[in-house]
Amino acid sequence: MNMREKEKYIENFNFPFCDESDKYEKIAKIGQGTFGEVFKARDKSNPKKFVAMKKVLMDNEKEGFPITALREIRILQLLKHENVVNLIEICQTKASQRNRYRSTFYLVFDFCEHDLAGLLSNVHVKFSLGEIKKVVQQLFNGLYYIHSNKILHRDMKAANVLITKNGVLKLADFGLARAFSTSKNGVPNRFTNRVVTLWYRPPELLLGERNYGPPVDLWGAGCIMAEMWTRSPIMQGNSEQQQLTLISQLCGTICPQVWPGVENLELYKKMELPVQKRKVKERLKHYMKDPYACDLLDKLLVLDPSKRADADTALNHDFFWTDPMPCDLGKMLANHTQSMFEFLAPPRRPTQMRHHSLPRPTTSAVQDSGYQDRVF
Amino acid sequence: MKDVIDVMELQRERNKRITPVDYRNLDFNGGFTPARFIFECGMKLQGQPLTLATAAILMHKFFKEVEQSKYDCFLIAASTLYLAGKVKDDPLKIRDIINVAHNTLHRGSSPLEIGDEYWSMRDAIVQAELLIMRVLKFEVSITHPHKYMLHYLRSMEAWLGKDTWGQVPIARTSAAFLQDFHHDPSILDYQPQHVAVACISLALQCYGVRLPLIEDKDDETWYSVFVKDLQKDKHWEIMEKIMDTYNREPETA
Repeated sequence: MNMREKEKYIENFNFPFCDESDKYEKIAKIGQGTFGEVFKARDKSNPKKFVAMKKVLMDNEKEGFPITALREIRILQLLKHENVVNLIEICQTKASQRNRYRSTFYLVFDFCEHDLAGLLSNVHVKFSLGEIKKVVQQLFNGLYYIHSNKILHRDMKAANVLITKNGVLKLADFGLARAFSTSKNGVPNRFTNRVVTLWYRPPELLLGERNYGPPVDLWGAGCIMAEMWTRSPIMQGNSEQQQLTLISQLCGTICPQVWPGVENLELYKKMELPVQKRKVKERLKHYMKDPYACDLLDKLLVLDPSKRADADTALNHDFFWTDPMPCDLGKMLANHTQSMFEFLAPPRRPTQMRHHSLPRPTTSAVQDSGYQDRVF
Repeated sequence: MKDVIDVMELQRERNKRITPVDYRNLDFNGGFTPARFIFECGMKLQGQPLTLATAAILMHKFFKEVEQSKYDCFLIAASTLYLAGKVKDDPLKIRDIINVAHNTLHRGSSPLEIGDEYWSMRDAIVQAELLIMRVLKFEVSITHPHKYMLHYLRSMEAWLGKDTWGQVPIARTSAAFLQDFHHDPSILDYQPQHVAVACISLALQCYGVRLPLIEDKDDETWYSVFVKDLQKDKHWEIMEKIMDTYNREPETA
């Protein structure tokens, strides 16, 4: 084949299991994921069907398909649950002269109308206690499921929690997720600790732990739960050090008395850990009038990851089993006809919980590029 | 039964006089040749056994979907190794894959200079990887028989007793059968649990080991504690397929 024939061959190559992305019509950009942009699109063959298309960034063409994207795809193929975002298929653009005969790939998801950060930033969206319980319960249901399947999310934050117009919560953005196992043959895991957006990052990661597990997601879930009342992230540090200071101010001194073994973490001696009284309940009871809510949060924002509540314990907490019981969000959301995404929302107003007015940080893996769990 | 032992005997004889295969003279041989290439290159690259098994399975799956003669099976083999490394979190460097694959095909040659040939080979592997993924619908996660086999063998260790277990290399032989069965695309046709059982059965029979408290009856099989849905004839079929694999090995003498 000569060059022209080759190009023709590539252009006309038929992939029976990989459709072309032009079967969807892009409507708007709705976000920026950890490895690319996200668009809302319409299925041309079924105009009532909307999808979210996430572009796979082929940043390093010479290394082929990114290992991170491959990991996300494999995790999404494994996870099929009501409270986890559903991957429909993977599409590609047609190879042509325009893209130098290199296709672009898109992950195609069921479309969700809102994300939690977007909803919380809109003052017109008001959650009743029962509705809050429903959101938080679904959050733990999703976490219980992914942790049972030995997957860590590693990027819990309000913007990654999607809500459909019917009030169904979906955990999204598995761009940083990975499979975990309890240490192999007694050799501790050596995962990267440069994961999770700073404001939701648990103390063990901030202190350099690399042999971590599901509790990292439960810390984030606790932060999100509190946010249901405070309406903005509860600890907004601008550096790892400041984040640890904010955590200490809320959860008390980080020391071996409350957290045996913390002294062995790599950064324990390098970071400044102020002596503080624990005041989780005291500070949050102004927002969270429900004593069960305060109690559950108190069990999630626990410094020692081995004592932090897991998803199952959280689901069994009285918070979900006392009046008002969790109730459907669909009705309340029906009052809001506009999609609410953090990406599209105006900057949130400062609240009492906020100490500094800052742009929202993104996951460290993106922010300080090069620290992602990349093995090359 | 006699067949089995003969095959083993043959294997041992062959191992005594290993001469390197010249892949360039071999045809596709129903997938045996590229699989052999994957295992040879993969071992030189010190990939994990599961990484090599993944590469072999991806290669067989790929050729099941496409017209075989249209693709260079060594390029596809090298590319599945690269992809398997990513899938198994056991990354193999593309530079190493190119050097090893090149040297395995052209034995004794010096490594490729960084030049046009190197870059086109690299681009070919990367593009083939994208092709393989699309042909396989991006479904590149594989449930291996290995984990089932490990679990079954662990349980059998106590069942057989320390003495027998220590004297007869049941685990080693089962694992060898399993790896070798990856040379044949028929491995795709059976459930991983069934493949695991068949490999162990074959090893037990090779060494004439009988499990205590199990009678050889029609309605009872030793493996019924592990798998419920494996019929006797299917069980035999898999064992025969495993043995067949050895008949497809090219004569190297």
